Amino acid sequence: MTIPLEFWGYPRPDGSFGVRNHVLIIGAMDNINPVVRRIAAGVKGTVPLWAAYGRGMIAEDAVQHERTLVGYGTHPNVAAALVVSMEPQSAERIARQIAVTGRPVQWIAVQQIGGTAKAVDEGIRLAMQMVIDAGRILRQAVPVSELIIGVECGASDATSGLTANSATGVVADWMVGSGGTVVLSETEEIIGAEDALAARAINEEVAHQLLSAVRTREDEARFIGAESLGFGPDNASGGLTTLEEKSLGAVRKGGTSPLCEVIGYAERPSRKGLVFMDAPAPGTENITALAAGGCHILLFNTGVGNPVGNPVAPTLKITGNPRTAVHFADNIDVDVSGILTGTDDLESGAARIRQALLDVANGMMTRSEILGDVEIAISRVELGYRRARGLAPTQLNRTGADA
Amino acid sequence: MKLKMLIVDPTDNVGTALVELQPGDTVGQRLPGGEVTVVVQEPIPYGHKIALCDIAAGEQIRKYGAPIGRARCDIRAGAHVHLHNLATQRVQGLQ
Repeated sequence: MTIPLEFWGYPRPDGSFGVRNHVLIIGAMDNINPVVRRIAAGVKGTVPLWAAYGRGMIAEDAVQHERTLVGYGTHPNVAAALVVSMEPQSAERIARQIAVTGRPVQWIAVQQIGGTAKAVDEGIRLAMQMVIDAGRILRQAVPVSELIIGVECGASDATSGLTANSATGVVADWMVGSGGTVVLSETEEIIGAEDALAARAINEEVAHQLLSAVRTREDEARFIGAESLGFGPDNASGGLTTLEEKSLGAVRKGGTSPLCEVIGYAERPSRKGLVFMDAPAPGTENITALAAGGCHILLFNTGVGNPVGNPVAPTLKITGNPRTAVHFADNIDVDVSGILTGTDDLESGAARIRQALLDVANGMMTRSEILGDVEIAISRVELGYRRARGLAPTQLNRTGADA
Repeated sequence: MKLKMLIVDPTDNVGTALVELQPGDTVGQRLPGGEVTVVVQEPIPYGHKIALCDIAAGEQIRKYGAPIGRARCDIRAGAHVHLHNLATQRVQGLQ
Protein backbone atom coordinates (compact mmCIF):
# COMPACT_ATOMS: atom_id res chain seq x y z
CA MET A 1 0.00 0.00 0.00
CA THR A 2 1.29 3.46 -0.90
CA ILE A 3 1.22 5.87 1.99
CA PRO A 4 0.08 9.35 0.91
CA LEU A 5 2.74 11.97 1.48
CA GLU A 6 0.33 14.89 1.30
CA PHE A 7 -2.66 16.14 3.23
CA TRP A 8 -5.22 18.86 2.57
CA GLY A 9 -4.30 21.87 4.70
CA TYR A 10 -5.40 25.49 5.13
CA PRO A 11 -2.64 27.97 4.14
CA ARG A 12 -1.77 30.66 6.72
CA PRO A 13 -0.14 34.04 6.13
CA ASP A 14 2.90 32.99 8.23
CA GLY A 15 3.63 30.07 5.87
CA SER A 16 2.20 27.34 8.08
CA PHE A 17 -0.71 25.06 7.15
CA GLY A 18 -3.62 24.11 9.38
CA VAL A 19 -5.66 20.92 9.54
CA ARG A 20 -8.58 22.97 10.91
CA ASN A 21 -9.89 26.45 10.18
CA HIS A 22 -10.93 27.59 13.63
CA VAL A 23 -11.93 31.08 14.65
CA LEU A 24 -10.65 31.13 18.21
CA ILE A 25 -12.27 33.10 21.03
CA ILE A 26 -9.46 33.55 23.57
CA GLY A 27 -10.08 34.45 27.20
CA ALA A 28 -7.09 36.36 28.56
CA MET A 29 -8.11 35.84 32.19
CA ASP A 30 -10.63 33.76 34.07
CA ASN A 31 -12.98 36.57 35.13
CA ILE A 32 -14.31 36.95 31.58
CA ASN A 33 -14.59 33.25 30.78
CA PRO A 34 -18.41 33.39 30.81
CA VAL A 35 -18.23 36.01 28.03
CA VAL A 36 -15.92 33.76 25.99
CA ARG A 37 -18.25 30.78 26.38
CA ARG A 38 -21.31 32.81 25.38
CA ILE A 39 -19.68 34.26 22.26
CA ALA A 40 -18.53 30.80 21.16
CA ALA A 41 -21.96 29.33 21.87
CA GLY A 42 -23.51 32.05 19.75
CA VAL A 43 -21.31 31.69 16.66
CA LYS A 44 -20.98 28.40 14.81
CA GLY A 45 -17.44 27.90 13.53
CA THR A 46 -15.78 29.36 16.61
CA VAL A 47 -13.92 27.50 19.35
CA PRO A 48 -13.68 28.87 22.91
CA LEU A 49 -10.31 28.88 24.67
CA TRP A 50 -10.60 29.63 28.34
CA ALA A 51 -8.52 28.64 31.31
CA ALA A 52 -8.31 29.23 35.04
CA TYR A 53 -6.15 32.14 36.32
CA GLY A 54 -4.53 34.82 34.16
CA ARG A 55 -5.18 37.61 36.64
CA GLY A 56 -2.55 38.75 39.15
CA MET A 57 0.10 36.30 37.97
CA ILE A 58 3.75 37.34 38.16
CA ALA A 59 7.17 36.62 36.69
CA GLU A 60 7.71 33.34 34.83
CA ASP A 61 4.23 32.15 35.80
CA ALA A 62 2.63 35.10 33.98
CA VAL A 63 5.01 34.78 31.03
CA GLN A 64 4.16 31.10 30.56
CA HIS A 65 0.42 31.75 30.78
CA GLU A 66 0.54 34.45 28.13
CA ARG A 67 2.95 32.49 25.90
CA THR A 68 0.42 29.65 25.93
CA LEU A 69 -2.50 31.91 24.94
CA VAL A 70 -0.45 33.50 22.15
CA GLY A 71 0.62 30.00 21.06
CA TYR A 72 -3.04 29.15 20.55
CA GLY A 73 -3.83 32.42 18.78
CA THR A 74 -0.99 31.79 16.32
CA HIS A 75 -1.62 28.03 15.95
CA PRO A 76 -1.67 26.72 12.36
CA ASN A 77 -5.21 25.39 12.93
CA VAL A 78 -6.43 28.89 13.78
CA ALA A 79 -7.61 31.18 10.96
CA ALA A 80 -8.44 34.19 13.11
CA ALA A 81 -8.74 35.11 16.77
CA LEU A 82 -10.87 37.28 18.99
CA VAL A 83 -9.17 38.12 22.31
CA VAL A 84 -11.42 38.89 25.26
CA SER A 85 -10.07 40.35 28.46
CA MET A 86 -11.34 42.31 31.42
CA GLU A 87 -9.19 45.34 30.65
CA PRO A 88 -7.73 46.66 27.38
CA GLN A 89 -4.01 46.35 28.18
CA SER A 90 -3.79 42.56 28.26
CA ALA A 91 -6.29 42.13 25.40
CA GLU A 92 -4.37 44.51 23.16
CA ARG A 93 -0.98 43.02 24.13
CA ILE A 94 -2.05 39.45 23.29
CA ALA A 95 -3.80 40.54 20.09
CA ARG A 96 -0.67 42.39 18.95
CA GLN A 97 1.46 39.23 19.31
CA ILE A 98 -1.06 37.24 17.27
CA ALA A 99 -1.25 39.94 14.59
CA VAL A 100 2.51 39.54 13.95
CA THR A 101 1.69 36.26 12.16
CA GLY A 102 -0.64 38.06 9.73
CA ARG A 103 -3.80 36.48 11.12
CA PRO A 104 -6.91 38.60 11.45
CA VAL A 105 -7.31 39.44 15.14
CA GLN A 106 -9.64 41.64 17.16
CA TRP A 107 -9.93 42.32 20.88
CA ILE A 108 -12.56 43.46 23.30
CA ALA A 109 -12.28 44.51 26.96
CA VAL A 110 -15.33 43.85 29.07
CA GLN A 111 -14.67 46.79 31.46
CA GLN A 112 -14.31 49.23 28.59
CA ILE A 113 -17.32 47.97 26.66
CA GLY A 114 -19.64 48.08 29.67
CA GLY A 115 -20.28 44.59 30.98
CA THR A 116 -21.12 41.05 29.97
CA ALA A 117 -24.20 41.59 27.76
CA LYS A 118 -22.60 44.29 25.64
CA ALA A 119 -19.33 42.34 25.35
CA VAL A 120 -21.15 39.22 24.22
CA ASP A 121 -23.17 41.26 21.73
CA GLU A 122 -20.07 42.90 20.24
CA GLY A 123 -18.07 39.67 20.38
CA ILE A 124 -20.72 37.77 18.44
CA ARG A 125 -20.77 40.43 15.73
CA LEU A 126 -16.96 40.42 15.37
CA ALA A 127 -16.71 36.62 15.46
CA MET A 128 -19.44 36.22 12.82
CA GLN A 129 -17.46 38.29 10.35
CA MET A 130 -14.30 36.31 11.14
CA VAL A 131 -16.11 33.04 10.42
CA ILE A 132 -17.40 34.41 7.12
CA ASP A 133 -13.88 35.50 6.11
CA ALA A 134 -12.29 32.21 7.26
CA GLY A 135 -14.70 30.33 5.01
CA ARG A 136 -12.94 31.78 1.98
CA ILE A 137 -9.68 29.99 2.85
CA LEU A 138 -9.53 26.79 0.79
CA ARG A 139 -7.64 23.61 1.61
CA GLN A 140 -4.72 22.76 -0.65
CA ALA A 141 -2.35 19.81 -1.02
CA VAL A 142 0.51 20.11 1.49
CA PRO A 143 3.45 17.75 2.13
CA VAL A 144 3.11 15.77 5.38
CA SER A 145 6.54 17.14 6.29
CA GLU A 146 4.67 20.32 7.32
CA LEU A 147 2.90 18.44 10.11
CA ILE A 148 3.85 18.63 13.78
CA ILE A 149 2.42 15.68 15.71
CA GLY A 150 2.25 15.59 19.50
CA VAL A 151 2.35 12.21 21.24
CA GLU A 152 0.77 11.73 24.63
CA CYS A 153 -0.34 8.97 26.94
CA GLY A 154 -2.85 9.27 29.75
CA ALA A 155 -4.36 6.82 32.23
CA SER A 156 -1.60 4.39 31.26
CA ASP A 157 -1.61 0.75 32.21
CA ALA A 158 0.56 -2.24 31.46
CA THR A 159 -0.84 -2.50 27.92
CA SER A 160 0.19 1.08 27.02
CA GLY A 161 3.90 0.41 26.65
CA LEU A 162 3.36 -2.99 25.07
CA THR A 163 0.85 -1.94 22.41
CA ALA A 164 -0.46 1.58 21.74
CA ASN A 165 2.79 3.40 22.63
CA SER A 166 4.87 0.95 20.59
CA ALA A 167 2.55 1.25 17.57
CA THR A 168 2.50 5.05 17.91
CA GLY A 169 6.30 4.91 18.00
CA VAL A 170 6.23 3.26 14.58
CA VAL A 171 4.02 6.12 13.31
CA ALA A 172 6.35 8.67 14.93
CA ASP A 173 9.31 7.12 13.09
CA TRP A 174 7.34 7.27 9.83
CA MET A 175 6.48 10.95 10.48
CA VAL A 176 10.12 11.86 11.14
CA GLY A 177 11.24 9.75 8.18
CA SER A 178 8.78 11.71 5.98
CA GLY A 179 10.42 14.98 7.04
CA GLY A 180 7.84 15.92 9.65
CA THR A 181 8.05 16.71 13.35
CA VAL A 182 7.05 14.69 16.40
CA VAL A 183 6.90 16.23 19.86
CA LEU A 184 7.36 13.92 22.84
CA SER A 185 6.79 15.43 26.28
CA GLU A 186 5.73 14.59 29.86
CA THR A 187 9.01 15.19 31.69
CA GLU A 188 8.22 13.09 34.77
CA GLU A 189 7.37 10.18 32.47
CA ILE A 190 10.92 10.21 31.16
CA ILE A 191 12.32 9.49 34.64
CA GLY A 192 14.01 6.11 34.41
CA ALA A 193 14.21 6.22 30.61
CA GLU A 194 16.15 9.46 30.19
CA ASP A 195 19.57 7.92 29.61
CA ALA A 196 18.43 5.92 26.56
CA LEU A 197 16.67 8.97 25.15
CA ALA A 198 19.66 11.25 25.83
CA ALA A 199 21.91 8.74 24.06
CA ARG A 200 19.85 9.43 20.90
CA ALA A 201 20.41 13.23 21.13
CA ILE A 202 22.03 14.80 18.07
CA ASN A 203 24.61 16.58 20.23
CA GLU A 204 25.85 17.08 23.78
CA GLU A 205 23.81 20.22 24.32
CA VAL A 206 20.50 18.53 23.51
CA ALA A 207 21.42 15.54 25.71
CA HIS A 208 22.32 17.89 28.55
CA GLN A 209 19.06 19.85 28.19
CA LEU A 210 17.03 16.65 28.39
CA LEU A 211 18.86 15.27 31.43
CA SER A 212 18.73 18.64 33.12
CA ALA A 213 14.96 18.91 32.55
CA VAL A 214 14.45 15.50 34.18
CA ARG A 215 16.77 16.33 37.11
CA THR A 216 14.97 19.61 37.71
CA ARG A 217 11.57 17.89 37.74
CA GLU A 218 12.79 15.31 40.28
CA ASP A 219 14.40 18.00 42.38
CA GLU A 220 11.24 20.10 42.29
CA ALA A 221 9.17 17.12 43.48
CA ARG A 222 11.50 16.70 46.46
CA PHE A 223 11.51 20.46 47.12
CA ILE A 224 7.72 20.71 47.32
CA GLY A 225 7.46 17.39 49.24
CA ALA A 226 5.40 15.63 46.57
CA GLU A 227 4.34 12.16 47.68
CA SER A 228 4.18 10.82 44.17
CA LEU A 229 5.20 12.05 40.79
CA GLY A 230 3.42 11.21 37.57
CA PHE A 231 1.92 8.04 38.99
CA GLY A 232 -1.77 7.62 39.73
CA PRO A 233 -3.77 4.89 41.48
CA ASP A 234 -5.24 3.82 38.10
CA ASN A 235 -1.68 3.26 36.81
CA ALA A 236 -1.05 0.90 39.74
CA SER A 237 -4.31 -1.01 39.42
CA GLY A 238 -3.52 -1.34 35.70
CA GLY A 239 -0.40 -3.30 36.66
CA LEU A 240 2.29 -0.60 36.62
CA THR A 241 4.38 -0.50 39.80
CA THR A 242 7.07 2.14 39.46
CA LEU A 243 7.64 5.39 37.63
CA GLU A 244 10.60 3.81 35.81
CA GLU A 245 8.33 1.10 34.45
CA LYS A 246 5.75 3.65 33.31
CA SER A 247 8.46 5.81 31.71
CA LEU A 248 10.07 2.95 29.78
CA GLY A 249 6.65 2.23 28.28
CA ALA A 250 5.83 5.92 27.77
CA VAL A 251 8.92 6.91 25.76
CA ARG A 252 8.15 4.20 23.20
CA LYS A 253 5.49 6.47 21.69
CA GLY A 254 8.24 8.85 20.48
CA GLY A 255 9.74 6.12 18.30
CA THR A 256 13.44 5.58 17.77
CA SER A 257 14.56 8.70 15.86
CA PRO A 258 17.44 10.92 16.97
CA LEU A 259 16.41 13.59 19.48
CA CYS A 260 16.89 16.92 17.67
CA GLU A 261 15.82 19.55 20.16
CA VAL A 262 14.54 20.19 23.69
CA ILE A 263 11.99 23.00 23.97
CA GLY A 264 10.31 24.67 26.92
CA TYR A 265 6.65 24.68 27.87
CA ALA A 266 4.39 25.70 24.94
CA GLU A 267 7.34 26.67 22.74
CA ARG A 268 7.41 26.01 18.99
CA PRO A 269 9.95 23.49 17.68
CA SER A 270 12.57 25.30 15.62
CA ARG A 271 13.59 22.13 13.76
CA LYS A 272 11.99 19.11 12.21
CA GLY A 273 12.44 15.59 13.55
CA LEU A 274 11.89 14.28 17.08
CA VAL A 275 11.63 17.07 19.65
CA PHE A 276 11.14 16.90 23.42
CA MET A 277 8.98 19.48 25.21
CA ASP A 278 9.66 19.98 28.92
CA ALA A 279 6.09 20.06 30.30
CA PRO A 280 4.16 18.31 33.11
CA ALA A 281 2.69 14.89 32.32
CA PRO A 282 -0.97 14.98 33.43
CA GLY A 283 -3.04 14.56 30.27
CA THR A 284 -4.96 17.83 30.08
CA GLU A 285 -1.97 19.93 31.13
CA ASN A 286 0.37 18.20 28.74
CA ILE A 287 -1.79 18.42 25.63
CA THR A 288 -2.50 22.05 26.52
CA ALA A 289 1.26 22.67 26.22
CA LEU A 290 1.75 20.49 23.13
CA ALA A 291 -1.04 22.24 21.22
CA ALA A 292 0.17 25.70 22.29
CA GLY A 293 3.55 24.65 20.87
CA GLY A 294 1.94 24.28 17.46
CA CYS A 295 1.16 20.54 17.26
CA HIS A 296 -1.45 20.07 14.53
CA ILE A 297 -2.77 16.75 15.82
CA LEU A 298 -2.27 14.83 19.06
CA LEU A 299 -1.96 11.05 19.25
CA PHE A 300 -3.24 10.28 22.74
CA ASN A 301 -2.80 6.72 23.95
CA THR A 302 -4.86 5.56 26.85
CA GLY A 303 -4.73 2.30 28.77
CA VAL A 304 -7.50 2.50 31.33
CA GLY A 305 -9.35 5.35 29.59
CA ASN A 306 -8.88 9.14 29.62
CA PRO A 307 -11.62 11.05 27.72
CA VAL A 308 -10.01 14.52 27.32
CA GLY A 309 -9.32 16.22 23.97
CA ASN A 310 -7.81 19.57 23.02
CA PRO A 311 -9.98 22.38 21.55
CA VAL A 312 -7.49 23.41 18.83
CA ALA A 313 -5.39 20.32 18.03
CA PRO A 314 -7.65 17.37 17.13
CA THR A 315 -6.92 14.60 19.62
CA LEU A 316 -6.97 10.98 18.46
CA LYS A 317 -7.62 8.46 21.24
CA ILE A 318 -5.83 5.17 20.81
CA THR A 319 -5.99 2.17 23.11
CA GLY A 320 -4.21 -1.17 23.16
CA ASN A 321 -6.26 -2.49 26.07
CA PRO A 322 -8.95 -4.93 24.83
CA ARG A 323 -11.20 -4.11 27.78
CA THR A 324 -10.92 -0.34 27.34
CA ALA A 325 -11.58 -0.76 23.60
CA VAL A 326 -15.03 -2.15 24.51
CA HIS A 327 -15.81 -0.48 27.84
CA PHE A 328 -14.60 3.00 26.79
CA ALA A 329 -15.47 2.62 23.08
CA ASP A 330 -17.31 5.96 22.74
CA ASN A 331 -14.05 7.83 23.32
CA ILE A 332 -11.70 5.58 21.34
CA ASP A 333 -10.78 6.49 17.74
CA VAL A 334 -8.31 3.70 17.06
CA ASP A 335 -8.33 0.28 18.73
CA VAL A 336 -4.99 -1.51 18.49
CA SER A 337 -5.79 -4.08 21.19
CA GLY A 338 -5.48 -6.74 18.49
CA ILE A 339 -1.73 -6.50 19.07
CA LEU A 340 -2.37 -8.35 22.36
CA THR A 341 -5.21 -10.58 21.22
CA GLY A 342 -3.40 -11.62 18.05
CA THR A 343 -5.58 -10.05 15.33
CA ASP A 344 -3.08 -7.19 14.77
CA ASP A 345 0.66 -6.84 14.92
CA LEU A 346 2.68 -3.70 15.60
CA GLU A 347 2.88 -2.82 11.88
CA SER A 348 -0.82 -3.29 11.12
CA GLY A 349 -1.75 -1.41 14.31
CA ALA A 350 0.60 1.42 13.31
CA ALA A 351 -0.87 1.48 9.78
CA ARG A 352 -4.34 2.09 11.21
CA ILE A 353 -3.09 4.88 13.48
CA ARG A 354 -1.31 6.48 10.50
CA GLN A 355 -4.45 6.25 8.36
CA ALA A 356 -6.53 7.84 11.12
CA LEU A 357 -3.91 10.58 11.47
CA LEU A 358 -4.08 11.38 7.74
CA ASP A 359 -7.91 11.22 7.73
CA VAL A 360 -8.01 13.69 10.63
CA ALA A 361 -5.45 15.93 8.89
CA ASN A 362 -7.79 15.95 5.87
CA GLY A 363 -10.78 16.97 7.96
CA MET A 364 -12.29 13.88 9.59
CA MET A 365 -13.35 14.83 13.10
CA THR A 366 -12.04 12.92 16.10
CA ARG A 367 -14.43 11.64 18.73
CA SER A 368 -13.32 14.30 21.19
CA GLU A 369 -14.02 16.99 18.57
CA ILE A 370 -17.46 15.52 17.92
CA LEU A 371 -18.11 15.42 21.68
CA GLY A 372 -17.06 19.08 21.88
CA ASP A 373 -14.10 18.85 24.29
CA VAL A 374 -12.58 22.27 24.95
CA GLU A 375 -10.78 21.76 28.26
CA ILE A 376 -7.33 23.28 28.73
CA ALA A 377 -5.18 23.65 31.86
CA ILE A 378 -2.17 25.96 31.69
CA SER A 379 0.51 24.74 34.10
CA ARG A 380 1.53 27.05 36.93
CA VAL A 381 5.22 27.67 37.44
CA GLU A 382 6.58 26.79 40.92
CA LEU A 383 8.13 30.23 41.44
CA GLY A 384 9.32 29.52 45.00
CA TYR A 385 11.30 26.53 43.82
CA ARG A 386 12.84 28.33 40.86
CA ARG A 387 13.84 31.27 43.02
CA ALA A 388 15.29 29.03 45.75
CA ARG A 389 17.44 27.25 43.18
CA GLY A 390 18.31 30.40 41.23
CA LEU A 391 17.04 28.81 38.01
CA ALA A 392 16.88 30.61 34.70
CA PRO A 393 13.53 31.23 32.97
CA THR A 394 11.73 28.08 31.79
CA GLN A 395 11.73 29.33 28.21
CA LEU A 396 14.60 27.65 26.38
CA ASN A 397 13.97 28.69 22.81
CA ARG A 398 13.65 32.45 22.59
CA THR A 399 12.48 32.29 18.97
CA GLY A 400 9.01 31.27 20.21
CA ALA A 401 6.17 33.71 20.81
CA ASP A 402 7.26 36.06 23.55
CA ALA A 403 5.31 38.13 26.00
CA MET B 1 -2.86 -19.57 20.38
CA LYS B 2 -3.38 -16.55 22.57
CA LEU B 3 -0.29 -15.62 24.53
CA LYS B 4 -0.95 -15.73 28.30
CA MET B 5 2.18 -13.87 29.33
CA LEU B 6 4.64 -11.57 27.54
CA ILE B 7 8.36 -11.12 28.18
CA VAL B 8 9.47 -7.93 26.38
CA ASP B 9 13.24 -8.41 26.52
CA PRO B 10 15.38 -11.53 27.05
CA THR B 11 17.16 -9.87 30.00
CA ASP B 12 13.88 -9.23 31.88
CA ASN B 13 13.20 -11.10 35.12
CA VAL B 14 9.45 -10.33 35.07
CA GLY B 15 6.75 -11.01 32.49
CA THR B 16 3.37 -9.33 31.96
CA ALA B 17 0.14 -11.34 32.37
CA LEU B 18 -2.04 -11.02 29.26
CA VAL B 19 -4.88 -12.95 30.95
CA GLU B 20 -5.67 -13.48 34.65
CA LEU B 21 -3.17 -16.12 35.72
CA GLN B 22 -4.20 -18.74 38.29
CA PRO B 23 -1.99 -20.66 40.74
CA GLY B 24 -0.74 -23.83 39.11
CA ASP B 25 -0.86 -22.44 35.53
CA THR B 26 2.36 -22.95 33.61
CA VAL B 27 3.28 -20.02 31.38
CA GLY B 28 6.27 -19.61 29.13
CA GLN B 29 7.81 -17.95 26.13
CA ARG B 30 10.50 -18.93 23.67
CA LEU B 31 13.34 -16.42 23.81
CA PRO B 32 16.65 -16.22 21.90
CA GLY B 33 18.42 -17.88 24.86
CA GLY B 34 15.91 -20.76 25.10
CA GLU B 35 12.44 -21.34 26.48
CA VAL B 36 11.49 -19.65 29.78
CA THR B 37 8.69 -21.35 31.74
CA VAL B 38 7.35 -20.62 35.18
CA VAL B 39 4.60 -22.08 37.39
CA VAL B 40 2.21 -19.42 38.67
CA GLN B 41 2.24 -19.27 42.51
CA GLU B 42 -0.63 -16.88 43.17
CA PRO B 43 -3.37 -15.11 41.19
CA ILE B 44 -1.85 -12.48 38.85
CA PRO B 45 -4.34 -9.88 37.56
CA TYR B 46 -4.40 -8.94 33.89
CA GLY B 47 -1.54 -6.58 32.98
CA HIS B 48 0.35 -7.28 36.21
CA LYS B 49 3.85 -8.74 36.51
CA ILE B 50 5.03 -12.24 37.38
CA ALA B 51 8.55 -13.17 38.56
CA LEU B 52 10.27 -15.41 36.01
CA CYS B 53 12.89 -16.66 38.48
CA ASP B 54 13.73 -16.33 42.17
CA ILE B 55 14.73 -12.72 42.86
CA ALA B 56 16.66 -11.84 46.04
CA ALA B 57 15.82 -8.81 48.19
CA GLY B 58 17.66 -5.76 46.86
CA GLU B 59 18.13 -7.24 43.39
CA GLN B 60 17.14 -5.16 40.34
CA ILE B 61 13.88 -5.98 38.62
CA ARG B 62 14.03 -5.61 34.85
CA LYS B 63 11.37 -5.04 32.18
CA TYR B 64 11.87 -3.63 28.65
CA GLY B 65 15.51 -4.67 29.15
CA ALA B 66 15.99 -1.95 31.77
CA PRO B 67 15.72 -1.70 35.57
CA ILE B 68 12.27 -0.67 36.84
CA GLY B 69 13.21 -0.83 40.55
CA ARG B 70 14.53 -3.15 43.28
CA ALA B 71 13.00 -6.09 45.11
CA ARG B 72 11.83 -5.04 48.60
CA CYS B 73 12.09 -8.69 49.77
CA ASP B 74 12.89 -12.14 48.37
CA ILE B 75 10.52 -12.93 45.52
CA ARG B 76 9.83 -16.51 44.41
CA ALA B 77 9.54 -17.50 40.76
CA GLY B 78 5.86 -17.35 39.77
CA ALA B 79 4.97 -14.70 42.39
CA HIS B 80 3.02 -11.50 41.74
CA VAL B 81 5.44 -8.55 41.46
CA HIS B 82 3.85 -5.22 42.38
CA LEU B 83 3.83 -2.44 44.99
CA HIS B 84 4.28 -4.88 47.93
CA ASN B 85 7.64 -6.28 46.73
CA LEU B 86 8.99 -3.81 44.12
CA ALA B 87 10.31 -0.34 45.01
CA THR B 88 11.23 2.55 42.73
CA GLN B 89 14.88 3.64 42.65
CA ARG B 90 13.94 7.15 41.57
CA VAL B 91 12.43 10.16 43.32
CA GLN B 92 13.69 8.72 46.61
CA GLY B 93 11.31 8.71 49.49
CA LEU B 94 8.33 9.15 47.23
CA GLN B 95 5.60 6.80 46.01
